[in-house]
Amino acid sequence: MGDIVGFAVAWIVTSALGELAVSAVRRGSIYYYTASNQALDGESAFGFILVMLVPVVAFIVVMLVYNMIRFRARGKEILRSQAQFYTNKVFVTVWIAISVVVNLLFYLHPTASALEQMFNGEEARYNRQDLIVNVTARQWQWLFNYPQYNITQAADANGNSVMFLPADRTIKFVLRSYDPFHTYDASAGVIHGFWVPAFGLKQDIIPGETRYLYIHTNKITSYDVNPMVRVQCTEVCGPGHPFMEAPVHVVSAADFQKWIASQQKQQQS
Amino acid sequence: MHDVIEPLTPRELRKNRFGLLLFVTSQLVPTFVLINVRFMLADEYVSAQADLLLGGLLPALLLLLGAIPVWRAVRFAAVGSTDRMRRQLTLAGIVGLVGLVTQIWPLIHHRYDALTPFGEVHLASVGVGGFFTLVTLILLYSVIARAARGQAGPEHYWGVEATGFVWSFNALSWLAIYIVMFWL
Amino acid sequence: MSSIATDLLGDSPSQTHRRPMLPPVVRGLIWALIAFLVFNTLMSEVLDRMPYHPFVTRASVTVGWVAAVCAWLLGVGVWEGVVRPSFGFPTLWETPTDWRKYFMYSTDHRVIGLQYIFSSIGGFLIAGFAAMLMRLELMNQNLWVFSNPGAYLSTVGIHGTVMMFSVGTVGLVGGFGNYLIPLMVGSNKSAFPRMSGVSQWLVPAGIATVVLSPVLGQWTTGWRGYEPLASQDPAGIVFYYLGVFALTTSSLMVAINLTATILFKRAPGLTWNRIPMFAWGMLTVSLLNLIWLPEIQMTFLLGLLGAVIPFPYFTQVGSPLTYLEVFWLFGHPEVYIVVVPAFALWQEILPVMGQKSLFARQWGIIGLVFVMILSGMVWAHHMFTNMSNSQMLPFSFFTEIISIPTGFAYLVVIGTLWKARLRLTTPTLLVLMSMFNFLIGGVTGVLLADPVVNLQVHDSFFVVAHFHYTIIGAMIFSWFAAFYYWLPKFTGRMYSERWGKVLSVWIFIAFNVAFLQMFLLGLHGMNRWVPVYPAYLQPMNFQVSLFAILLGIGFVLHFLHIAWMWRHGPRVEENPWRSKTLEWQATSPPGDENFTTIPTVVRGFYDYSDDRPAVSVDVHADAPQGAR
Ligand code: HEM
Ligand SMILES: [Cu+2]
Ligand SMILES: [Cu+2]
Repeated sequence: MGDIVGFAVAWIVTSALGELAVSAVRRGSIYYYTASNQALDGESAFGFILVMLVPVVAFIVVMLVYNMIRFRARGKEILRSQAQFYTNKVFVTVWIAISVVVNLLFYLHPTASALEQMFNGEEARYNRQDLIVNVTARQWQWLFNYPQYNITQAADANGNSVMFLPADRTIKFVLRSYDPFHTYDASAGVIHGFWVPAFGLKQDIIPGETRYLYIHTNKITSYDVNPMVRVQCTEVCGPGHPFMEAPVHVVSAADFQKWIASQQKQQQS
Repeated sequence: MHDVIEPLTPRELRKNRFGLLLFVTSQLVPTFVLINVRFMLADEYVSAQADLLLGGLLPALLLLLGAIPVWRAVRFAAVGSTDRMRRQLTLAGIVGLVGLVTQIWPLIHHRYDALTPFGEVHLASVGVGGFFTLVTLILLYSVIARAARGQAGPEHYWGVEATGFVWSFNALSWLAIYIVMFWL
Repeated sequence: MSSIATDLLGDSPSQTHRRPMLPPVVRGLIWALIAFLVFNTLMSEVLDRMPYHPFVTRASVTVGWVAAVCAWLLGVGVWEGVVRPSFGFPTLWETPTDWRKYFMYSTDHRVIGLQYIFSSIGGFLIAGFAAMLMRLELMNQNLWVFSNPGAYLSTVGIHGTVMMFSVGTVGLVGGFGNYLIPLMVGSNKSAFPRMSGVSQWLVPAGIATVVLSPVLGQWTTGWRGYEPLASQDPAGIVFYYLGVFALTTSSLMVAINLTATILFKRAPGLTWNRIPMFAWGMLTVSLLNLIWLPEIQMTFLLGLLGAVIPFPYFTQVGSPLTYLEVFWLFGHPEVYIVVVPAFALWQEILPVMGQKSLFARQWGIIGLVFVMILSGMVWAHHMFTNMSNSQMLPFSFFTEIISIPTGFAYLVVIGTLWKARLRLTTPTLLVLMSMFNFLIGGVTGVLLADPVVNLQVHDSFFVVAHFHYTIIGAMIFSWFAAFYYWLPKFTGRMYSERWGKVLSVWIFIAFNVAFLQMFLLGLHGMNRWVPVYPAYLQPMNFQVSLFAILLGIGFVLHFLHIAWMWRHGPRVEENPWRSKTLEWQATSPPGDENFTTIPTVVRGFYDYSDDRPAVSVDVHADAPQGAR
């Protein structure tokens, strides 16, 4: 009995400390830096799972450590343990029940609930005001195209691809993998991965398919503010893979219009 | 090292059968993959280049036909009529060799064209089938060779029986591939 | 195949005259070289001449390789040991009894087991060296160790492939499984000794093939060899397919052999209820191997044909995702192939070290079996970033659910340790560390199973940290536990407890410091497969590399310690841990035969409530002592 109490105290104390640590981390930022609603959703799912798992992890870790210290053999002689039992119905039943319940819980929340939110976000009816950005991945370069503004290839003064987005808007990324500059076989492409770390989502880009990713930007920021605001290829696509990145700028609606105008001018010249 | 080869105990025979069953079962998996990939990649399409007769029907018939002498040989081995067993095995060997040729023929006479890969699933199937037929024939030949050296008879029954199983497996899996690839 | 069929013919009449012969390994190498040259030349110069006729083409190298591997196998002794007897010729082969027996084809399961173990260690050191190069490169955000990203990516591929197929899948199964399973079930032989003898020699061939792949050209796909990227790569990918083919074939043969051994070679009285936990682990893993290895072999064969002929299956036709689907169909069971033996080991070692009966044994077995079954249903969680939304929920469900049977291994261990008399030996410590590490791997696995989180951390260093936690953390730590636990069995000698513990703590700290930070790197935006990355990630990468290198050194020191003690350790009694399992009832090391009298099992092996042995006869009463 004493051992059970001793263990329980250690477990509760450890869990409490663990929860404190997790909530400290949650108050900071698990994802380091976020710039979209989707990233916030992901972060809160992450944090929720951590909160729920702390007691579970603490249970096992404390068990391992407690057993190791409390029930260690003293002395050189090899002696059989005094206590011998083959099972304990209560313990086994509770264990199984808890692991089933925790799993179902995680499945309902955050897995299913957060997914539903994500799917809903993708439903067209919410997205009539979307800014559409066509993203084309070629080996090895990102190309951004704004069909609503007739910008075929957004680029900075040096001709490098760059992406500007208005803040507090839903963006619909249209993802395709092909090579518009390829001379004889534009479809000869590989899989790429579209990831803006600060947006909290990524999507693979499959040759021959068109895929969509929806993001709602929630603050003004840019690659210069935090390097996590960049497009980064996440699926290995050949030797140029590490170099497939492009800076992102999330700007105010007015600045976005200015940028559009300058891009349109740049294109005409 | 021992000079006398002891006959198998029933348990050992069961063990060998089981091991072979495991092997055969695991070798069914590639067939499934092939068939699945076929549907994922080529759907219902049967290449105009695929040779219905040589790469398909003929080997299927020949391999099925060959199963008859093989299993007769197994029966003869069980009762110890070594000579008749050998005759049956040789017969099966000839049938199998012809089957192998019919499977390899389309491989050799295929125009390899990187730009029109349609129908290549059929070709790969023929290749896989040919490989298994080759293995079966090597096994068969090893039994024939042992028999020729007097190492055959009831106490060597297992080797012959194993050949029977492998032969049947090869024939049936080819039949399955043939039906799926060309008819479904 | 013919080896299965002809297995029980045994050795044919021996002949007295013997020709002098090269050492088998040397002969194998020479034959392989000759075969390669002959067949390569035949292909590239005669049968399949290419424009500008290069001497080595993809087709010629493939054919040459097949010939070379066959010749290598024949050369190390398969010719005398298998082929000639199968065709009824007399054997001209004598097995030496000294160290030379480890360098040739053998039918002795203990020799084969040790050969597998050595091959695995070789693979581990080579691939580990590759990891060190990678970590060195990543200390800096620019290219400095490698001159181009392709070289780095080839190294990543070699590291992952060799680690997975020659260490992860082989170390505990081909190695410890082959050595211990016949001993544990009370048999003197494995079920199919000849097949087993052949299969081991495919491992060095496979490792060498993968490691030599850069000779043919770089390949950038990583260990998945994924299409359609692979079809763009230079020819190095050919050796990837071929090497993996050799390694998986080897594991497939091991699976057949171990399954049949456990089912048919059990000593009298060893009922299903009494099968040792490690044997249960081997049984479940073998079933996984039997299903999934042929699957991936066929896939790789199609990939190989694509690279050689070419048959561009996975590019112009159908969906480019087809390859990844069939790959992960295998890929996820593969990771359970790696880790299930570790679960079994925990449940094998801890009751002995605690001298306490195994707790809830049937739940431990149920856990192993259900992990095996479920592992075939979770594969698509590797593809959340590219699957359709409707597929996400079911795969997420199964992925989360698999933590339940996995948890049973913890249930069993915790119940066993409660109120035990746990000896804190090196194996105990390593098992406990392994359980801690796997817990971290498992918790981060739950996070990864959640699609919303997954879409952020997938393909980042978060995943790299996660799978290294499950593989190094659980499997490699348990592998070392197995080395220490069974060292007295292999050699009759004991390691140094002090050094064992110091080094274990060393690798534990180095491992955790290095890989915990990788989680943070991933969250901070570090993607995978990059030798070059944004500068803000450099400080943390530097620390990771530092501790990764310390980890590498720790592993090497462990091996040096084990190797030293193998020869110079103090002699110990036969059963130093007071285990009741069968392998400890034979002499240490076992004599010419494991058991001079086959023991009869009269009760389970994991009941420590009294001192009664689990077998009814003193099995080695008259065995030669200390036979080497
Ligand atoms: C000394 C310890 C080790 C270190 C420092 C290490 C380090 C690394 C690094 C840096 C990567 C590259 C990640 C990326 O950019 O995608 C990697 C990949 C990988 N490692 Fe390890 N590793 C170690 C041991 C192992 C072991 C023991 C195994 C398995 C038995 C293993 C299996 C893999 C696999 C499968 C990959 C993926 C390769 C790919 O992306 O194709 N590693 N490792
Ligand atoms: Cu890319
Ligand atoms: Cu990429």
